[in-house]
Amino acid sequence: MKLSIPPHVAAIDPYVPGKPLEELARQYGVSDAVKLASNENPLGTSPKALEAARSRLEGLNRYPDGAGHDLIEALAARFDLRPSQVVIGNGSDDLLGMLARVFLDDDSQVVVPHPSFLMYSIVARSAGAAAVKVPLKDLAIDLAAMARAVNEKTRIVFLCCPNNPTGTVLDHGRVEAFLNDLPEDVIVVLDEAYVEFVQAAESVRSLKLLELGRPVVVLRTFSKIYGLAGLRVGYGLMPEQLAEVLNRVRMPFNVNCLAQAAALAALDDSGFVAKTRALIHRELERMYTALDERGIEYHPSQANFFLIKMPYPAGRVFEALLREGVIVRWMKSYALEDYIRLSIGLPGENDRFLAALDKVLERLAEPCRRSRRK
Amino acid sequence: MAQAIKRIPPDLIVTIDGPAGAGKTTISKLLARQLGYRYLDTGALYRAIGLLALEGKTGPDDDQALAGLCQGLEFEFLADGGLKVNGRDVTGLIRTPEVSMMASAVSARPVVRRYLLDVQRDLARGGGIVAEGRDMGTVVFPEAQVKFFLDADLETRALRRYEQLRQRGDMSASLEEIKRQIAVRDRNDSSRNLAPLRPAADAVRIDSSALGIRQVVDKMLRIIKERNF
Repeated sequence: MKLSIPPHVAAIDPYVPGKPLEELARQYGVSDAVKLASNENPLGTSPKALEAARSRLEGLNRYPDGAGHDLIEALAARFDLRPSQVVIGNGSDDLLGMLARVFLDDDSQVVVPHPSFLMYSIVARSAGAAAVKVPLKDLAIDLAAMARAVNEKTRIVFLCCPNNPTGTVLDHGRVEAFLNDLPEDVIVVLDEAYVEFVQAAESVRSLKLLELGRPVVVLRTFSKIYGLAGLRVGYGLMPEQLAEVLNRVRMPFNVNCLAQAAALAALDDSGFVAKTRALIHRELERMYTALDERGIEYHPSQANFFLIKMPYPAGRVFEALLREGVIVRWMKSYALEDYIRLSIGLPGENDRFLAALDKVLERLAEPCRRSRRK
Repeated sequence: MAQAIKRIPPDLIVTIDGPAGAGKTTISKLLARQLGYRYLDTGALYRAIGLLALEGKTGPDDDQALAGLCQGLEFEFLADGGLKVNGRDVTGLIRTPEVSMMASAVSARPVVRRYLLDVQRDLARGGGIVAEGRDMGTVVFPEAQVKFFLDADLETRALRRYEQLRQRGDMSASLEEIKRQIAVRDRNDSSRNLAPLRPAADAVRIDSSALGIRQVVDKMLRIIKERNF
């Protein structure tokens, strides 16, 4: 087949998601594997959301509410915003795509922290724009360096808080100062996919940023704390004028009716959210302690995942863990080659990881010991 | 043939009262939309008076000044739920914590309540409205054809409030503190002399603790449909 692929598209490295359980079963014949690779909710899905989705199963022959009225109304009430300030998406990455379609072309640039969620550069590059990567400083977003990277071609600056994959947060005062120093027409996208897990009170209060009269877009998702990753639903909070233009390029039925029904119910299920948060915080602490006991270096996180530095080549540890039936994420594509990222699972799943890690590290240590003895 | 499809009259007054955190606002809005009715956010009216009092540096206990402030006000609810006072869009201005405090203070003044009583009845003229508040079924619209009292247990309401604050970025209060605040407010609300929070004798009580938003709205719709008007 002869295709003429635009060079800016040909240059994109496709996004590689965490390995699905089914793939591991196929490749390695491991059937009882645990997946701790995609920052999913280990408790499953909000029961209220499940119930709501189930009761929506009749009527799938009809198109969903294209305007997402009920969900948008509920979100607006939750955040004390106007419905016209809320845009819903097929996951929050759908909103990233809308932003790129509206604001980017082959003459524009975006500024992205690096490493961070990889989709920021992918959507920018798919619109022909250049992604200027600004390295993290001590695994946290370096706002001063981000500000220096902004030039007259910059249309969007992406921030991620807590940052995926490092789990660090941004200080509210610093973000406010950063915004005030930015040219007024530069859009700041603050991705808060993991905000519900944050424990640090000084972390950025995104709703306050919306009051500054700046083009700020706050992205959130139902995929993480509400456990709806499989249904794909997220939302953006922003000034009215921005929402209005995003809605022009939004596909009319981008959020399906099950997702709308489930999200509406999930929003109200504070019990499930509290349970999830308590589990994540408890297990994070337990895992830190377990790694401390083993003398393994890690980075405490404000999200439901954290980075662990491997004493052996992390790619080999990752592969060996797979064979033990534990899927984590090797951070090579995030330019953190020595690290793996562990998503917090159920206590039993986290124990599986620890046991597998012990086994794998011991095995990797053996040849060295043997060679030393010789 | 099956019985004729029963239509819901277009001019009912539906009231929804209940404590904070029971889910009144979202549920009232969604119910109004399902019925093709208007939605009356009575809390916004108190907030608007609170805003005007703050702007005019009026003391919350200066009844004379409050009465003057209330004279000749024109309220207009916008299609997106916003509110205009004398042609000025105050939607964004009435949601600050300062205005909340002031609104709460002025709502305790009989002069303000008396004034807003007329305003609310005026806004509801012609019916076809879902009115949300704390004394809708008991004081403002005792003649309303459908009355709901929406409640949820203390634990659930505290969790909802906590989650809402948290998701707005306010992590200052712990769950325990919020639970205490709500319990105190519950006591004040139900024991005060002026328009205490209590269900009207003919109100249908719905507990939203274990129900989703949609389920509550559906239940209300069912109840309305079953009535003979």
